[in-house]
Amino acid sequence: MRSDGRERKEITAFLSGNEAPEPDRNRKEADMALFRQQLQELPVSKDKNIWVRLWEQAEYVHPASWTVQFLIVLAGIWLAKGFGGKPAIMGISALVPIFTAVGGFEISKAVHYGMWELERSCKYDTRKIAGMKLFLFGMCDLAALTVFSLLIYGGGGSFMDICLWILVPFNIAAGSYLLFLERFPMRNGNLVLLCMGCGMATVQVSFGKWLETGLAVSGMTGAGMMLAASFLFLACAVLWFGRGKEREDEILWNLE
Amino acid sequence: MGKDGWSKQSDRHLVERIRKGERGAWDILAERYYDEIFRYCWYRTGNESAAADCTQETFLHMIQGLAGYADEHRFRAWAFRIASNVCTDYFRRKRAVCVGEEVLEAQGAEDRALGQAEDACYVEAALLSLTEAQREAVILKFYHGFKIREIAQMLGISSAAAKGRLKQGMDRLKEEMESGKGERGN
Amino acid sequence: MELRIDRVTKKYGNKLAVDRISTAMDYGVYGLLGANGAGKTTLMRMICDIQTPTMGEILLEGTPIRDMGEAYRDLLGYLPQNFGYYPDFTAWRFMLYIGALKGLPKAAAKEKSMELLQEVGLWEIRNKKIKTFSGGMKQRLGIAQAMLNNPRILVLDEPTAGLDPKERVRFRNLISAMAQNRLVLFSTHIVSDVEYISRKIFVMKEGQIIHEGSPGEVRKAAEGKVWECTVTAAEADVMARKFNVGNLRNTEDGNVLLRIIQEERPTADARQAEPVLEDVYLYYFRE
Repeated sequence: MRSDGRERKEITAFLSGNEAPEPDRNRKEADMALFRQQLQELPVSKDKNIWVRLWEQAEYVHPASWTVQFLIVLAGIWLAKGFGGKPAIMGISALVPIFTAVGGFEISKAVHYGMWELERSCKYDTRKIAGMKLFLFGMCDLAALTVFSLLIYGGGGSFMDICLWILVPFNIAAGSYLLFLERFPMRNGNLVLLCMGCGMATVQVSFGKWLETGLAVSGMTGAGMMLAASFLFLACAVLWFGRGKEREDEILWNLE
Repeated sequence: MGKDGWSKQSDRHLVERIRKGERGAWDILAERYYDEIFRYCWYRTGNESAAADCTQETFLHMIQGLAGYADEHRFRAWAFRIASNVCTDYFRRKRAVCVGEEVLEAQGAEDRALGQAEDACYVEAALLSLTEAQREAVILKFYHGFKIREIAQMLGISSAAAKGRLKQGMDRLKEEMESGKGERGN
Repeated sequence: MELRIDRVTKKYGNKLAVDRISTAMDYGVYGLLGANGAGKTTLMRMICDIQTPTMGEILLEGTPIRDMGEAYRDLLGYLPQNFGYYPDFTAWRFMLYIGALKGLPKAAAKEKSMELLQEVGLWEIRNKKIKTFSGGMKQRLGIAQAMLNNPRILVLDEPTAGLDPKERVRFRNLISAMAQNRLVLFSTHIVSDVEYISRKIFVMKEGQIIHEGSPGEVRKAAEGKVWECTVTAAEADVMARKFNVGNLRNTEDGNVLLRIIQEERPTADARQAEPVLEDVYLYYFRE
């Protein structure tokens, strides 16, 4: 060890006989000016926080999407005020999958209109954009569900009515759309989503009475299980959508 | 923050500021490392003009690579890694040969005392007797004070390999020193 | 600046779209020449971090682009072969939207959009909907959006497809001008696009780069394989079926001058001709 240390000292002393010169001052100044100029030409993007990005996404949502959602909420209010009781509950319940489908349109927009490739190459890529849209429309859905729930409650409906006729249809609709969008992104996906929404609404209205009868027999247990199952379904769908990355390449290839 | 405040900031903080658009932080960083990178390039190429060109190229690569510079690497080690690659590419394009008096003239050594010039050339010759890999390890260790682990990371080799290169380089230098003492004694 | 492609492979099931490609690029214009289905788009998508290689890596200044993530895409500008747009978008709104996705602050996005739309000649019609644009106008808009973030690396997939000759020349000039301090990679199956402006050409076939070099070097690949002979019109038909005919031109005396690309002399009186890049393309991509 000691001999190692001595050896290094000897070599250091030896090598110090060949000290490098200082760089030429003029050349150095010229280089510094060049570096500053190069830096000027670097990309100008700045890191934006999530709220700024969300607001930007909201800015570019088609006004028709906001309008349609607003009209659906108005329709819900009209049903509650105009009919009341069970017909109003059924009617509002049928509106839920259609309202939710609008968010689905926006999330699938990039693929539907062929913008996904361009968006994917940008700094904030489609996966992040889809996530932000999910959050944005999730918030809108929450607001609408709150309005619908208040309407039902105000019209004499119970907490169980809200769970079964608002929350369960929403969970099933939203989960189905996410699974569909992840598994089958396609260029005419909007039409399919609309059909799915209308289909679900029709099923609810047509089979609503049978569902009620079944629940009357099974009671709170049955209702609770149905609610829990619907939440589980939605949670799995969100996870599946979020983890769609592994399947993305195959999906993109299939879009060619 | 005034530039005085920045001059005490760590490299990582300066890079963060550059990325956020505070281009003034770059001047501090460049000033901090320009001379050292120049010296490294000079030890590698043996030629002032080539060293200046390599230094410029190194910094230009650094500007381009700032976006990808990962914070866990030491900035200094990262900068030297780029400089190492630039100098290696220089050798691919041109052969740099130390030929005694010719090299001294190229280095503008006319102003140096003759004894000093002779010593410098002698050390240069000793360095050139090493392989490129050994010389690089010796320069990084002895002229720039990098640790074995850092040298390994910069050259993209294992620590054992870096240690091996350094040991071989040192052994070779010792031989040169011994034979040199003998000759000079004569 | 070095962009290195290291043994990159892309497999979809059993299909090999890109097969062990290795090369390195610096500043300047690089042309990627190949027929449809050669793997050009897949390679470009991987360079743009839109798709991940099955094997191999792409590195920028020694750092894998996968690890760089947003920081890499920040340096990138991409024009896909067929890009869509939201139906309500005008050119101006489209530029601002892409600017937002590229992380530009609004003021910077507006300034840059104005500058670029003027440069590509779309400023006057910036408030018109993109669906009313012609093919050439859409391509120009595409190139404008690719330049929004002042990219170091510009990737253009078939930028001249569907353009008339005049627009193609205009585009080539635009690309040449953009190559200052930039790496520009563009793909095409039109030989004249790459011949005049590329520093280096990659010829791609069945997922592999089968030839690379300056236009002059690539042209040499067809040296000794290009023949010209003059035949009657009737013979010309026969020969066109029998040989790989690159070009045929009617002569003043009513005969036909054929340009044939193959290793052996096609007829006893055929004479060798200097190859042009198109001959190389026809040689490699003959049926």
